[in-house]
Amino acid sequence: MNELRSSPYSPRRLAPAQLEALTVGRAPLLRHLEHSIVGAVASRQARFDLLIGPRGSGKSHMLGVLEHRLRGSAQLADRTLVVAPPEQLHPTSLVQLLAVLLREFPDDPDVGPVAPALESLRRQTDGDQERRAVALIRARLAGRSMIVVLEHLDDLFNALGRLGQQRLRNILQTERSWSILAGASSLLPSFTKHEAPFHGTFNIQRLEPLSAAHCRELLVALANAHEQPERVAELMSPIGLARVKALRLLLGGSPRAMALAFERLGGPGGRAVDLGSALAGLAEQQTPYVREQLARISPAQRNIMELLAEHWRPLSVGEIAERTFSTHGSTSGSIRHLRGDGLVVQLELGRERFYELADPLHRIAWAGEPKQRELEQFTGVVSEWFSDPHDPGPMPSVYALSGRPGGGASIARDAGAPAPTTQPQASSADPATRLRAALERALAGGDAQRELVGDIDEAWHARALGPVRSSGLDASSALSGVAEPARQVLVRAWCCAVFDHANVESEPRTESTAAAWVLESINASAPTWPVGATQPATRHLLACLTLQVLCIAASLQPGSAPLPNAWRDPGFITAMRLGVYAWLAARRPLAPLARLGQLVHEQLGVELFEPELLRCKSARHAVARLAGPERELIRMRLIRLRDTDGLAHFGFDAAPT
Amino acid sequence: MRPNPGGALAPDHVVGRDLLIDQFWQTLHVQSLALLAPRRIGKTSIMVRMELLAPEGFVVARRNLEGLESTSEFAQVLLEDVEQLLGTWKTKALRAREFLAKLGVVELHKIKLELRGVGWKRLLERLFDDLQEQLELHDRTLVLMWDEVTLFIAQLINSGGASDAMLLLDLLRAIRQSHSRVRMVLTGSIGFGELLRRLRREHGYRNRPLNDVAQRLVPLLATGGAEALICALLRDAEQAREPAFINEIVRVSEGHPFVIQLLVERLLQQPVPSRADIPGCLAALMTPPGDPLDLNHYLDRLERELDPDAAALARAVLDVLASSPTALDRAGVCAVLAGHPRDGVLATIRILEDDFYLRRIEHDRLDFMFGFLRRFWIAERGL
Repeated sequence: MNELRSSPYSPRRLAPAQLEALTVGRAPLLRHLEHSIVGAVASRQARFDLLIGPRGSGKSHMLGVLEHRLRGSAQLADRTLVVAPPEQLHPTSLVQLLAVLLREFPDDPDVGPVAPALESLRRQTDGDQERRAVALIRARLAGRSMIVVLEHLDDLFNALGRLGQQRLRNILQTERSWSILAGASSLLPSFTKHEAPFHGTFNIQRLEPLSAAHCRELLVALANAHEQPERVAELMSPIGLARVKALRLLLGGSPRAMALAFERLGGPGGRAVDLGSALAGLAEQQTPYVREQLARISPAQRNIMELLAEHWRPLSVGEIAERTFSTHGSTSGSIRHLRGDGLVVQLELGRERFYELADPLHRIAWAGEPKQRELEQFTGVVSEWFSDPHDPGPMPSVYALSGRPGGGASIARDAGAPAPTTQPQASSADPATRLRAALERALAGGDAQRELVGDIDEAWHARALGPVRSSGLDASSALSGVAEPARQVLVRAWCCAVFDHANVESEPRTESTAAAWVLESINASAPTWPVGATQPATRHLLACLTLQVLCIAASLQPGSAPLPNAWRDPGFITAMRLGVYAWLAARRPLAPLARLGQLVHEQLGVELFEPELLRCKSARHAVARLAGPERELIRMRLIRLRDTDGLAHFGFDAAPT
Repeated sequence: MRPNPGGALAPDHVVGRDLLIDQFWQTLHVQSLALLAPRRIGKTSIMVRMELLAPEGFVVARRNLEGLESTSEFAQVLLEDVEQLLGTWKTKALRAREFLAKLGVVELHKIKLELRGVGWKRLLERLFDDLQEQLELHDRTLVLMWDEVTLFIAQLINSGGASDAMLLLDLLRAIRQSHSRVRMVLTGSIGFGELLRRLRREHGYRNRPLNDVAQRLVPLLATGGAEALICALLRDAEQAREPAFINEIVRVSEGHPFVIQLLVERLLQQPVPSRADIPGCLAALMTPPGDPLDLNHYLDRLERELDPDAAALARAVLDVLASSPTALDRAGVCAVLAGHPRDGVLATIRILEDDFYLRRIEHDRLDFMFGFLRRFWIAERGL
């Protein structure tokens, strides 16, 4: 029989060596748990450890690794029995649990085989089976300690109820040498609340998502296990890491998602990470699994899950109630349960609450046809974002949890009040001075494109393009020494500098030269995207500037010129979406975007942005309505621009993980 | 020795409590004990070590009563414990067995007892008579260490057995009075005060079933005990054993053994544990929701256990004490809350002491049970 090389759903089926080989990012925690459990059990104590993490976070894998390590521990040999019931078993009462444990005991020549003892236990009808089962286990332990490895402790505790939990605790307190090592998807009140029997009993270890580097390490380990050296080489290259970061942004840092994605990456010699095909394959593969998961919850809860998946982005209780034809009260109740089960996460914006799916795989597996297109578009954006292997930006975070209670300040800023300010770089002058110097170098024909792009990007974000406006670029001779694509950057930056106001329509239209430039830019903008040879940072800045130039044009002369068909190009749409995220990060008003979006939709039938997002009252509200990975892109941009005010404004965590 | 927060500790891993345990045994020479403390202070661990350190002439039977559902079941487990003890003297609980035989019960270990009416009471009376006789014969005193007694009584009340609960409390008191060779050590996660208040309020119970028992508050670890525990837990972590590091853990943990265990457990997960890691680890432990101590409980419980007016007054008392720059005595609190009836304020203070929100310090002044609870209260109440 072939040895199993990986098993995303049942890692405990893997051989111990294979489990160890595929263990990534958890080594310190595993070592700590192993030493702590061995130390406690060897000194005749009981210890209770609980791994908490969403489905696919690696709980079963860790339990499997620890089970094998504990079985192999020299310190525990002969004086401890490790009992690990199969995860398919779901005992629903205390006596069932005890019977399941007993079933795992080896036959003992002194006490006799297990099966008849179990049979005898089953036949008892005097209601005292629990005590008898405990006595049977105690007899078979014969003075040894026991370590019980349990999956789904949350399900078990829910089934036991308070009284069952009390009786279980009684047994553990009485025996004092039965330890538990367990996993659970959700942190039930039964594990934490003061009045719960097991309050403070379990050492709770939360399994955080894997970092991008660990995701790559896992993919490399999988490639090694499947004997794919070409894939290992590709993954180990800088572009490999950049693509893994993109994958992680879309899938979260779940080891299972990574393992599943690996299976969809194609055969040896194919591209290391083809996001589009990987996601499409995943969606197809995940659907039956997700259906099975959802079959376990109530119909009302399933409706909500399906709606959130279909919608892709967060929704309020009111919206969910309306779209599922339910009452506000019953919807709130269902959401509370879904949150408790770790299936849905809550985002807070002031007093408003929004909900989205916790597991990115659910979103991918359940998104309907229109959302699949949107997903594909977004995948293009993410691929573009991470296309620079040398500067792919900060590490993606756990986007599902990035919304924080109470985060953010007044939304007045969005209406054109104080512009964002960025933290100064330690070793350089203020942004305007830096921008002036970079402009002088560029106009003199210098080759410092990267610095110029960085300075203009920062100034555009902070609405501080003043130096560009006063640089004399309106004279055509000024750009004579500047090569493409810096020339395009400067042209657009100048247009933006001239018209960078909250409301273009209210400005006196005295800059006729500028208007001509804007129109010229409209015609020139589509063919310039994508510019394959251009550095990604330049492309991204061009996307921001082009978007603003188009907004200006849409405001100045709406509908006067037909829009080029090239705007239907996926590359152009990708650029515009990148621009929209930058726009939102800069807390710019949404009205110009809405006007442009309407114009494009009317003329070309293309949806550049979600109309409902652009109807939000502020950028902060719009960001709260974005999907987790989209919010994460905005967060990463703010971190790259060192905009701490922006991070606080949107309630983002500043620390990359 | 490694940290094991929440675990079942071996007796030799219970550190820093021997002086207290010695005092408890001194008390047990003359009367029974009720150990009062909030959850996670280490009552069970203290009992485990007490058993190990039992003086000559005492025998111990320790039993957790959590999850027992009826007085019949209680009688049965007690019968098992007593028979086990008597078995070491090669005898049996003859009166108890005779009583059961009259009921048709001949085999104890293969059936679950269902004693109707007050059969359980009669069984217990006979059982203690058997015990007294054998204890006198062997010149021993039996200490019954019952953990989670209050949870068991609460379970009886919740399942409609309040009359059984009251009868049991009265019976146990009577047994302590009449059986000089029997002592009890009673503990529970729910405070005795809370339980008796409920029986009085809901069932008109007027007796004082614990007025013969020495009620002792289990204190936090003294500085020396806390240091000893921390040093023992850090034995394997060489780089973390500097005095400043240990003193800082003593200071921030306030000698709370569970907090010490949790804190050291977390610190040992750092690559190189240092003093700089302590604030972050402590913050993770003390920040609701999901904090191991469940500090929100102190807010929620007032709403749950008291009527709205009483809860409002309790919050006002706690607000006064939390925001006062100096510790106040009861008169001081009454003076600040002059708009409230004095009797009501004093009764509320008593409840808050019973339920481990407050404790008395020198000169009868009042303070929060824990400094971190006071800080939590100030933060949550926006004081």
